[in-house]
Amino acid sequence: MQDGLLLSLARLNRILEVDPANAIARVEPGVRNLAISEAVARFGFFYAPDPSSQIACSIGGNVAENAGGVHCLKYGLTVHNVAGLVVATLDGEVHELGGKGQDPLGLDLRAVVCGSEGLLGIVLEVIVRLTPLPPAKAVMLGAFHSLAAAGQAVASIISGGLIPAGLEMMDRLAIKAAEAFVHAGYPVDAEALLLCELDGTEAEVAADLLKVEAAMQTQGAFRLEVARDAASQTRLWAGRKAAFPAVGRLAPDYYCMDGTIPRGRLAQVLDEIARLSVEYGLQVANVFHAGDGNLHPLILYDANQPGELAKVAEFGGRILQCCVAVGGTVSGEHGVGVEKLDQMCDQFCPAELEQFARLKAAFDPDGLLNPGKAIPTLARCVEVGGMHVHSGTGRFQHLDRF
Amino acid sequence: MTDVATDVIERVRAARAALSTLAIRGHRSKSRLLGPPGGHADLDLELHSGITNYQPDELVITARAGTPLSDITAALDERRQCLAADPPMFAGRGTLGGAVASGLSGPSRPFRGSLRDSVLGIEVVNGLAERLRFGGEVFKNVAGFDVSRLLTGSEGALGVLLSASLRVAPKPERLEYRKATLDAAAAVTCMRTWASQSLPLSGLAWIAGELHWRLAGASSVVNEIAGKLGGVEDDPGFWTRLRDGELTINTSPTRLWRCAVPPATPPDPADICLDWAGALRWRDQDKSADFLLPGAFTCQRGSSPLRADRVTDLVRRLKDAFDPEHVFNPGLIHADTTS
Repeated sequence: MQDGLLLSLARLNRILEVDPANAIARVEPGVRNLAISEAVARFGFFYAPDPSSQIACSIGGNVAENAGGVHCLKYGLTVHNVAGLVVATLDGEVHELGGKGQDPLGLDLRAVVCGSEGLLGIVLEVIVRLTPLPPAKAVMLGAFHSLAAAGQAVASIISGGLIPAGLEMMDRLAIKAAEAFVHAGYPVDAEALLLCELDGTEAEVAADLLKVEAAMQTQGAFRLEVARDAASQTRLWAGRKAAFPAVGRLAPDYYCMDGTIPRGRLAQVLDEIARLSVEYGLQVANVFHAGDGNLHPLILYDANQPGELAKVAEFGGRILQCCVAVGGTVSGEHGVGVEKLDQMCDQFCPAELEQFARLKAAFDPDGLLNPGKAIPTLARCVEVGGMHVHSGTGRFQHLDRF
Repeated sequence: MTDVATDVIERVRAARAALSTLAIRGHRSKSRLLGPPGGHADLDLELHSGITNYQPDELVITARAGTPLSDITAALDERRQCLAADPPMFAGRGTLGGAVASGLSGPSRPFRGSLRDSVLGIEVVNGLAERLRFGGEVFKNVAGFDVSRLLTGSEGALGVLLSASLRVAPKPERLEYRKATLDAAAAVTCMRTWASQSLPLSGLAWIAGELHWRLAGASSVVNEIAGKLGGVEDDPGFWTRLRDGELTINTSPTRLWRCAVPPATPPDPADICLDWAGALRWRDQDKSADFLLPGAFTCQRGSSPLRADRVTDLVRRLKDAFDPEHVFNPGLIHADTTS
């Protein structure tokens, strides 16, 4: 981009108010995600969405991406945990969207700003909803001889009426990489590993553990381990949380994909990824937020090999097309940015993209915020061949596309 | 179970061409609450009905807009699931489209999330008579703007909902109902104390000098906490009556304002009911001057509603972005409303 201005909100980093009676905190966008939970812990609360980068990522960025995290299965995404936003549009207007209350009548612009990748306005203040800290917690590890069996275990946990705080899956390559890196005690002979976190009252956790154990055993788990104390829970999570850097040690470079699928299609999509892995001659390690069907295939490659970067991008694109084809989405939580613009053409038709463009124009008529991101132009979609557009039939030709 | 989407699109196209307006209708169960939409002609969605995809293992249900909420809850109940937000069914009626378009949630809202929280995707006809799909049937989805949640609670001002996909929740294994005598101020204090703990609550409301609470979850947990919190046994029907307006809208002789407030706000003497652990107040207009809060609105048997929306230029531009000729629901939410 030429002649662009970079607007950093990093120094808007004050926690403006912690209001335990209303179970909210008012913070500036540059406040780190984890800093909120640290500031409110003494009142018995935490801020639930916890992306793996929570030690460094800012709440403003979380709003822009509608960030999730390993606990979003139970506690929701950023949009579920933000009660209000103060947003400036480029005409100089400052908008209070939502607030300390819940669901006032009228259009909910707060919800559409969440996940808008900075295209609609500049977030100046975030009112986050706080969640009471659960008194008890346990993590269960289950090792399986096949990904399909682990997938079945996930299905039976959830259809059995349980929504665990976290439910994560790793495949053989990811398990081995993580174990070699952080020595979490993972079974390296497993084809699939499940990590299930349960929280609530003591009685609740105890009851839920029995259900999860039964579900995993029924699906043939050959090893089960329960971590009841904080130290062993941290150890079990350490392998999962370090999975990306661990896989990073296996090859000079890796490309992290992010798509969501209906969970029932997991085996089918993994087969397709395995097939593509052979076709492209590139290894893939798989890490999933299993409870919500969010896949993170990590494609290993070497950017120094001529042509390999283009090859990996194409491979990744085909994984995302597969996600769309089974009824999923090209981005579960990492966003579209510029990287996935082409795949947006697979997921949305011209009229839908034009509706996005008009929505953008309602907030930012001159297209000045984050130009070229998140929503592809129709021209781009035509070029990548993902879309057929009759010339001149598009509406609002006078609007600049971004 | 019928699909009349083609007819709906044709009606929108014709209305747009004729510069006329449409009032989008389902069961008409919320007319008293939100006001009947204006419009030259009714666009009835009741015929556009049927559950099109229900995947209990995936925690998702998709149905056409005219599907009765009662059909949806019955289908979920068979698989021991439910809508976590428990949207109101006034006089036992209401459609999925109406529930999403109004965005109203029941008493479990502060504990189990709002209806908007559970919306995963929608199909909509915009003011250009285009059939569009946003979101989908998966929980984590950040591709494109979150139009589904913007349209939730938009009262049909931006488009005609054709179908919606909602995340569903497991039905709690056990429910317990308790109440205790308490004045309003003490009730707010108690509500906030309990709401700030990790308790298996799914309802916490005060009305007529009594605090009511509902516990939901695994039997062992519910029994344990029920013992700790005390109180006396309550009528389980209380929560349905509260949800469906029978204790507020239907009983009050005067105009009531439904106010969304920070939950720890001290009670106003005019508050006849505190719901949502304090965040929702039903305030008697005759006894208070403090009701014109942002997003508040009224309802009263036999009189037209009033509302205190803040209709900004941004809201007007959004209306234009979806419905440039202002075909849909004149008088609700958008530019035609006086703020």
